[in-house]
Amino acid sequence: MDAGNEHISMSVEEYNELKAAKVEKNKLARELRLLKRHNEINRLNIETQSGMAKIISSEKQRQDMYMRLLLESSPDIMFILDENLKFLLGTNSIAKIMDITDVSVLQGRALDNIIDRYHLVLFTDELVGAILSATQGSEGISGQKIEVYAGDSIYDVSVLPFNRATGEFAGVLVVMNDITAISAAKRAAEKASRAKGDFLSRMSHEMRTPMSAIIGMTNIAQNSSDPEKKEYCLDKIEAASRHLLGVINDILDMSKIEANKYELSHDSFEFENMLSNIMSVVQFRAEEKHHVLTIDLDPGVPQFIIGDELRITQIITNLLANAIKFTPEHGAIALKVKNLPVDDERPMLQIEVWDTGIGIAAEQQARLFSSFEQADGGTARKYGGTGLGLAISKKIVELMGGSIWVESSLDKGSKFIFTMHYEISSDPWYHERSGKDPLTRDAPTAQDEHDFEGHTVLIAEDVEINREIIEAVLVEKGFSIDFAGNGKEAVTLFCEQPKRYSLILMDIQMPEMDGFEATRTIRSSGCLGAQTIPIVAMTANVFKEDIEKCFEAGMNDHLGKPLVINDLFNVLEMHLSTNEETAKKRFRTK
Amino acid sequence: MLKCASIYTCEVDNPDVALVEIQAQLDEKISLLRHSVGVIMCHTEFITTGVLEHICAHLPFDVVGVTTASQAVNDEVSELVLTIFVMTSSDVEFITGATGSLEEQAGQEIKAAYDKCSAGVEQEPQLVLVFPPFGIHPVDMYVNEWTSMLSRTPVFGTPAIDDTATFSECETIYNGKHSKTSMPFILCYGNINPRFLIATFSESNAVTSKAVVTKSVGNCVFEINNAAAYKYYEDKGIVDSVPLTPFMIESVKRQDYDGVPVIYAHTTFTDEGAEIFYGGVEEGSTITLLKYEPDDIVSAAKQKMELVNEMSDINGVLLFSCAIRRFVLLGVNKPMQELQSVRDTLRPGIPFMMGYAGGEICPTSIRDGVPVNRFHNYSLIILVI
Repeated sequence: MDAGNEHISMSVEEYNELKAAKVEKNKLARELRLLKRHNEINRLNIETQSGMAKIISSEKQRQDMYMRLLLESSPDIMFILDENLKFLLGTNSIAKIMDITDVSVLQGRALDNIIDRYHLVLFTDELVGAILSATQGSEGISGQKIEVYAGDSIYDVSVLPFNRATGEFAGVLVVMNDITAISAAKRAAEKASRAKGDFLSRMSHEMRTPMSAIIGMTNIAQNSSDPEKKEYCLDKIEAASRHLLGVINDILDMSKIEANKYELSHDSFEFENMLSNIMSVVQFRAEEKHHVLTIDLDPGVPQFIIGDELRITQIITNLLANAIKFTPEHGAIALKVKNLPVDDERPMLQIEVWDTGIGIAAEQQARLFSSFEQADGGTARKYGGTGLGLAISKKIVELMGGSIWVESSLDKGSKFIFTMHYEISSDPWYHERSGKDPLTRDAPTAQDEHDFEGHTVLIAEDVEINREIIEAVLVEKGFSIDFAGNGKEAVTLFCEQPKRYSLILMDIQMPEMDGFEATRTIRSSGCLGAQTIPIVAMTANVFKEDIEKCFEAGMNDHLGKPLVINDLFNVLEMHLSTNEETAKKRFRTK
Repeated sequence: MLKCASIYTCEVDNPDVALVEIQAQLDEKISLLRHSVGVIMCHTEFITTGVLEHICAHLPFDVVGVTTASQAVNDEVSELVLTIFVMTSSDVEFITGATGSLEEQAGQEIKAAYDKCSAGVEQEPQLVLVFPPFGIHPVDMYVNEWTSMLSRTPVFGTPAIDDTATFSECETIYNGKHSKTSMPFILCYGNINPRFLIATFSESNAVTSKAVVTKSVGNCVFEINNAAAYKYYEDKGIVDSVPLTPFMIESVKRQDYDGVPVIYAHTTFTDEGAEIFYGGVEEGSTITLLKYEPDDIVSAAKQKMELVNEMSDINGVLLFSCAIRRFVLLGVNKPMQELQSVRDTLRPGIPFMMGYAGGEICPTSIRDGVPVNRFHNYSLIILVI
């Protein structure tokens, strides 16, 4: 044996023993190595388990916190019962119903004990029955949904059995959603829907009735050769048309109100003049029923105020019309206007309309100002009307910062009162105009006798029947007419012979080019007179913003459709007259 | 025709005795056919004592494999054992090879080694068994390299490990030679029908609620739940108070085709607060911390063996189980329980070999004849041939 440079002598036995010892040593060393490795792995295992335990604990705390948050914040009543119907867990909402501060006091308590202890109306027989049936075995029962009526409250309830991982029944989850408010809202919505349905039905009647008259009378007139009969029919057609227009205007106003797009204008006008106009409209209706109609104007009311003359007229006219309608013959109707003491910076008027009419029962007064409802369906059938007038009036009054109400009793007459803020006008130009703006027109005076010979009007209108009507009206007054079927044609005709035309009547909604674009094109064309020729809009769009759009496009004036002949001639007079005074009344020029 | 047999020796000190045992089993259990190969797994001690080299030098077929920790074959479950899973066939050809060092130009080395071995063979192999070295590159890089070369070939295998906590001594094995940097492999051509199963940890053991990877590139996760990755763990009290180690089964999971999950283990955090995983992480993957349960490991293995038992036409079964699963069982003093469960459940007479792995390479599915090759962590992968 060679140990380094030294030879060692030993026997075979000794060699084998040494070899075996070496092998044994290696084995021991190996076992030690393996043991060390195991220990190292175990150490890491222990470290890992310790770390995991901390993480698990931390995570559990977090989950518990989230669970507590959920249970405390959830508006729904939710609770879990174990397989023996003992309370396990629940939201704070159930604690509030029981008037306890902490829902955990219920833990471990049996359901029937909780019901007895806290006298809960919540646990109706139906709910308890649903919970019990859920405990019978979850096989085949995937959950029940019921409505529970408990006192004044309604709950939408889900009762859900749940199982352990092994499949055996573990308990019941009950979720109770308070649907009291939703149910009430649903009932209100259904009521409103019914009211709207009734309203639509009524409006359909209100519109069809004058339409029937128009169609019927037209038929009669066509088939009659008697001029007197024809005249009679035409009068009826005109009356029905006006009534129909009134219904349409009411419906349009109402739709604007519902869409929150109702706006007031802000112009100066002469108050007394407005009242005078109103009286001139309602007087003859009052006279027909032999009513005594009086007006009482507080001297403190300023001559000129700033407000929406059209809408104030609308309210007062509506109240007076109602008073006339609902007062039997030989009654008395009074209009009173008071200037109220100023308690803030904005002065206020109080306007009252008294009548000695049929009066209004107390329970019906509550519905008077609501959309879609008249006080009484029978009243509607007897006296007619859309039932929208007071609702519209209320909206207008509220926009003016005022309020409207009624004082009345059955058979003892009614007093409708409204208040409104106003501003005192100080603009001299407005004063000189005598308070007229294009939105309100007088009955014609000298216009009727004015001869428009020599004037040629260019009319842009795509609807044949409208062309016929306006042609018939204008030719009779001496006008020559040229027609354009759309805006593009109107521009072409004007630019080809700009000197030919005294005025352009421009429809708005036309194919190829609408009235706005045609006006802008004419104004920017550079043709002779393009900047100065009066262009008057004719349109069914009569709301304030529609009129503003016309002026922004470069138009000078506006006429609403259906055309009111007097208004038409007032406008023509204003823009074609050489009279200086009349010329001052031209609303706008561009 | 394909035949398999598993042979072993626990003789770690005397190479001659070990060889005699191996040869006796070989003669007893299997008659070698025209083509043969052996997949070998052994404890590092067998390298140290020279037993590995001696046995490999005397075997009539190539031997390819890795060092490992505990193993099981039909007749033995042990920590200190050398096992060889022998495959022999008349109509399946086995071509073996090994790459050069993968420390640099790994992709080129793999391609070069494959090209050399497959020169003259026109078709793609029906199966590739690969045994990468541990810790040089992310293993899914190797998987991607093989898949890019062999788009229709399933890739199965495992990196080397050993029984240390840090896998510091593991080596790959090719015909008796051992290496820390080379990857040996077996290309299988012919009439072989590989089937694959995967078992992994159950989400019912999740400790933390799931989070979602919202920004990632490759193995690197930058954001979790739209916040910096590190912050997610800080908010949970992990990292500072409880360092996150690979021992903690903190896994990111993506749903692969057919809903098969692929799980990757946490490696480390970068200085910038991003988290590195052992495999590529797609955005949308879920992250959770799992509480490992020893019973889950054993029952999962048993369940998969029951599925194997229902299969037909089985010649042999190869199993690689993640080393962490062994660590978990070691922690409850039952390090052999998974191995024993496999041996006890698998139908008697089916040759098998099972060892522990430093990551698992196995397809999750075959779609239209194209395997979806993936690298996994924390899993038990099974090849049935």
